[in-house]
Amino acid sequence: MTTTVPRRPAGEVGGSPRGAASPAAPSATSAAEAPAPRTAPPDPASGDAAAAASLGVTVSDATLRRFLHGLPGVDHVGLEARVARLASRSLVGTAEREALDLAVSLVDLTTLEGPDTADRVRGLCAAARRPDPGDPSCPPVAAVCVYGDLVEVAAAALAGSGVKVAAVAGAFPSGRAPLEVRLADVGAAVAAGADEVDVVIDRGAFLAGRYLDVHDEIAASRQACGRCRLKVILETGELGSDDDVRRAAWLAMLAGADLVKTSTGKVSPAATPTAALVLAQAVRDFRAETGRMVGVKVAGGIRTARDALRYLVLVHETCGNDWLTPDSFRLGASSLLDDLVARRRAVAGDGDGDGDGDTSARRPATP
Amino acid sequence: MPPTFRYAPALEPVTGIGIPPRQGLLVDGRTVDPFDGTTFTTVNPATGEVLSELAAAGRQDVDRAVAAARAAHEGTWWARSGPDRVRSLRRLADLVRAGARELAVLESLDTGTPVRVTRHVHLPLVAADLAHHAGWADKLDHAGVGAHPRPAGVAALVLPATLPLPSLARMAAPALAAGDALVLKPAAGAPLTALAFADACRRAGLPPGVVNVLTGGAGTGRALVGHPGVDLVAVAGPVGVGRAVAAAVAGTGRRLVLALTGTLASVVLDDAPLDQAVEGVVEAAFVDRRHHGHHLLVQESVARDVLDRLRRAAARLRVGDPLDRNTDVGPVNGPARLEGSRRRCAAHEAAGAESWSPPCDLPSRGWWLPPTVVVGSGAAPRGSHGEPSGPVLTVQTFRTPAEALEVVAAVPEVRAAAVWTDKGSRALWLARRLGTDVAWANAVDLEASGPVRAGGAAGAGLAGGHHGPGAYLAAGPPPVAPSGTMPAPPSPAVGPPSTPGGGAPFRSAAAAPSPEGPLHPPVPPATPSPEGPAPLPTAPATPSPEGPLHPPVPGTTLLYVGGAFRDAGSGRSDELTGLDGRVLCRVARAGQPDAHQAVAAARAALPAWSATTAAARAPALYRVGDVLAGRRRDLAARLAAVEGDPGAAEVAVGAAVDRWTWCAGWSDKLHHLVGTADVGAGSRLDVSVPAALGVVAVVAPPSSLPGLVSVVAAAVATGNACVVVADRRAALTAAALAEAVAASDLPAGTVNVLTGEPVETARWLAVHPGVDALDLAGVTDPGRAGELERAAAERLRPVLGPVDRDHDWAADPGLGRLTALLRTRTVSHPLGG
Repeated sequence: MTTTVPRRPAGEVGGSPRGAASPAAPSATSAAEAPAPRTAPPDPASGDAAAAASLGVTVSDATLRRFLHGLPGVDHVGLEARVARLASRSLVGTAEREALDLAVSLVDLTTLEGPDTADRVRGLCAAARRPDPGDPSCPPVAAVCVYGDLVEVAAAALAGSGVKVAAVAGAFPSGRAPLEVRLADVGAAVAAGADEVDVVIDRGAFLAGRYLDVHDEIAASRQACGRCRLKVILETGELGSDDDVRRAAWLAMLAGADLVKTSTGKVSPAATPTAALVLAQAVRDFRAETGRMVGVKVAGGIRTARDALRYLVLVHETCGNDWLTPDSFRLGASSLLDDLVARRRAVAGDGDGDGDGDTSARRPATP
Repeated sequence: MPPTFRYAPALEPVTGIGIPPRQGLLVDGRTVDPFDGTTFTTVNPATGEVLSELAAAGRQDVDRAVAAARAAHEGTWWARSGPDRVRSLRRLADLVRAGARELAVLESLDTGTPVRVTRHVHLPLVAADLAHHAGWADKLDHAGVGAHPRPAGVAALVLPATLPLPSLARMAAPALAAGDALVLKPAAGAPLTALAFADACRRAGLPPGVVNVLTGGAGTGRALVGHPGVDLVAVAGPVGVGRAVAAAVAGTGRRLVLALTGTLASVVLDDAPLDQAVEGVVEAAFVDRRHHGHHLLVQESVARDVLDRLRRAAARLRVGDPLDRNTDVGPVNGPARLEGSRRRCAAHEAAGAESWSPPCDLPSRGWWLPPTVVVGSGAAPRGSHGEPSGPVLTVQTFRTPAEALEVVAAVPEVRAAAVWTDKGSRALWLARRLGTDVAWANAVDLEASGPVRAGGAAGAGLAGGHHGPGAYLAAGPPPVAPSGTMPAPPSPAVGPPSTPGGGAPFRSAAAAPSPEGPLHPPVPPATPSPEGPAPLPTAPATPSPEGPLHPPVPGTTLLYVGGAFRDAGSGRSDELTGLDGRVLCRVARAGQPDAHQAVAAARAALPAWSATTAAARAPALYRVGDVLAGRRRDLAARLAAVEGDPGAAEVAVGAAVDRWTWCAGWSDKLHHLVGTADVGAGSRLDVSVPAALGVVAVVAPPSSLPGLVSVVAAAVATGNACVVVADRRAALTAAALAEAVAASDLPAGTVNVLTGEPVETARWLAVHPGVDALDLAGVTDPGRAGELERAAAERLRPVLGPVDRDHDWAADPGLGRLTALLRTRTVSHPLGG
């Protein structure tokens, strides 16, 4: 495998690859010696490798392993308890109306089916521009997400709308193809006019502990993306544990991911609140450490407005409103938009919305 | 204009929640006015508005309520069949579940606890407690106090202002299942849900008078707790209240159940799951606030990171109207607690700590304190303790786990602990060592399902789980005579120590065995002491231990302290005369310094002895029994010299040997009976392991060898070290027991034998800070016993009450005496992938 990531020679790396990393790393020196967070995010096209290198951990499998395994652990039971507590948050009245609008504006409207046709994609793009044809106040979605061969169709249909075109690439959804093939796939999507590219990590390599391979492949994809934003799909449903989800997120961020994404939607379980919470904590900590803001995308299985609002609550309470913009948070879904629009209409007719406008808390949802 | 995310007020509707502007007392199913017409008000702490005007019950009201409870208990409730009571209690559980929203809102209004906590955390606990215990009402034979138990009778429940309804359910559910009738005394600051609960009981079909409510202040509580018609007092609340109630109950023969709250200690180690640790600590310290203080210890290497996360999390908390479903932090319940919380912060700041609070808009009315993190001072600056449960978290760093243990040990009134680490073995190790009855790994304030069996000092708040109604039951068929001076050990699920009528006499044959019959050879045959006779405590002359002692050689029996025989420090001794009036020997009379040295020796032996595995403890104890068995003729002779009847002496010796061996055998079995492991909700494993109380001071029954052996064996077989005080008339046999102990492998100081004036010595022991429990088996004077019980109550020490002088110590003792000397430590560990 060829690596294209500029890397520091081993000799230049500080003696404490783990300690220099996260403020959370359980090393006696981490708190005192952590590099000061950079104030301005680095240039996305070139700065990520530098960010990674500044942490001094991307030298070898061993240094990466020491770093990733030095991140604070995740207690699954505590994580679920937190998710359950957040599920009791209640959005009513104007808060719900605003949150529904926000949710619409964060949707990656997705179709990733074998039978997808150009007409179907055009129809989807129309829905993306005007989710509620009867209500001009309804904002457009963030992006339309399609397979690479339909990027041109989508780009044409969305021209001038501000809605981005996202393409899945890199041997989606398994990631099982030679790197050259995957990079070519990414390049083709970019050439076809995509604004964003969603690639999967090689879960096999990750689970086998070949962290450097995974890192370098993501970095190569990042480079192949050029001006496009790279979303890295971790496929959390195939990772063994919350700890692995956190490690995979850090690995992707170190390699230059612009967003980390839970799932392809082709594997069950897809997005779960617990996985989303781990990702939200990871991007929050990464910014505290490096100054760079990485986004989160939850995808797969999000069908109801209530589900969507729960994810907004979760990100709001974990990262703050900084992250609740189309640049930093996405809801990848196909049927969710219909429910958001329906709920939006229902709430609009609900006066001040108190009472049955309550979606998330009256009946606490189960994770 | 991009849409934004924010919360809007989401108020829990108060429709359907009528709070009568005036409420009376609930007695015998009716609302009645107090005799003297005194009233007080309860206030919404979020606004300062009066919620309701309530009656303050006086002495006559207490009389009336206790009489009603007595009549209901005897006339209807206990007279019903078990299945009948199950039906009523299940109906009650259903009603409470169905009315959970209304009860939660009422609790939030009255206490200021956010409705998201009362609704989603507390009320589910209440409903679960009621549902669980309902099913106990037809299974009382299995509640751990033997067959055909009877209810304690009239139970007075003293409720706290923090977590009032869950505390009420935790005590009322098992008490009702046991067949007791209740008089509730809610805290003046949070009385509304108790009245609502009583109303639910009425609607569920519980007979009138089974649940009575006396609202009022401290005077009402004192009158109720001190009322002679009350059989059992259960109190939940701060340690100070527990101490006062324990002192009032001591010596009255009433039973006591304590569920006390104090400080919560959280220990965050450097490998902790930091996000979960911070979330858990924030939730416990600022939101739930069921403890009266929360002290956080953070390992220094992660302290900065943890504090950053803590501040970030605290800044996201939403402070405001408790009835808003999105509120995290409610007001402090009343001006006194607010003032106390402020004082506590000030005391820490005076000691050098820095306070930090996130910016937040506090309402202008009501009693509010922002979430406050106090960093840097020690655990316990002067003036920093008391009842307040404002949203205050004190933080201190440590460098090693051992240092963390030292710090926690220095914090007064730590009642619960949480340990945060990714390493299971270290979590379990620390949790055990922190010494609290409940400790959580990577969590806090969940309901641990283990039993609380912690003697009189019980209490990690409500974290006791489903331990059954044992604490609210009395053993056996009704006693022939009123057992006024014999309180059962004040611990749940523990039978009383051999009450006069308690337990069928298992071996009445022991009364008249053939002289040689019971003297079966000891298990390893007769060990005729190859190393020669055990050192005899008689000085100066050493009699032959093998030959019959007719009469014992005059000399002085010595004290046995720290594994050595010695004279009393004062050099004083008394004569022991035989039945014929001749002086048998002199008996060393222990003084106060001797008592202190004995306690010190016992404390020193404790680590080695309680750390000995149960499997190793048993053989060491068997060996003592074997030595006693090998010397039974000598023992019988000594006994006969003092008491006369040689036949009876031989029988007594046989019984004593058997009793010791019986207890020794329990030392590696008891934990299987009283320990539990519970995979409660599936996501946690709660392991409850019995542990020794520590140093037990024992007043041995006068002139009864089986009695002496029973009390000492019970103390040491449970892993305790003991200081036993024997009457002068028992000095010869006590000395023989000491010799047997000396000849065994027990660590020096595990058993210490003092002779002289037992009651006088016991007074010194009862107030000694190194004594953890008191066994008053041999105190015959009820006045003296009460005095000793009160002394122990001030320190919240478990006490085993006196035993009748003519008690048959050879009869089957049951496990009560053993289990009463154990506490149960529960560790709740997460089960997550």
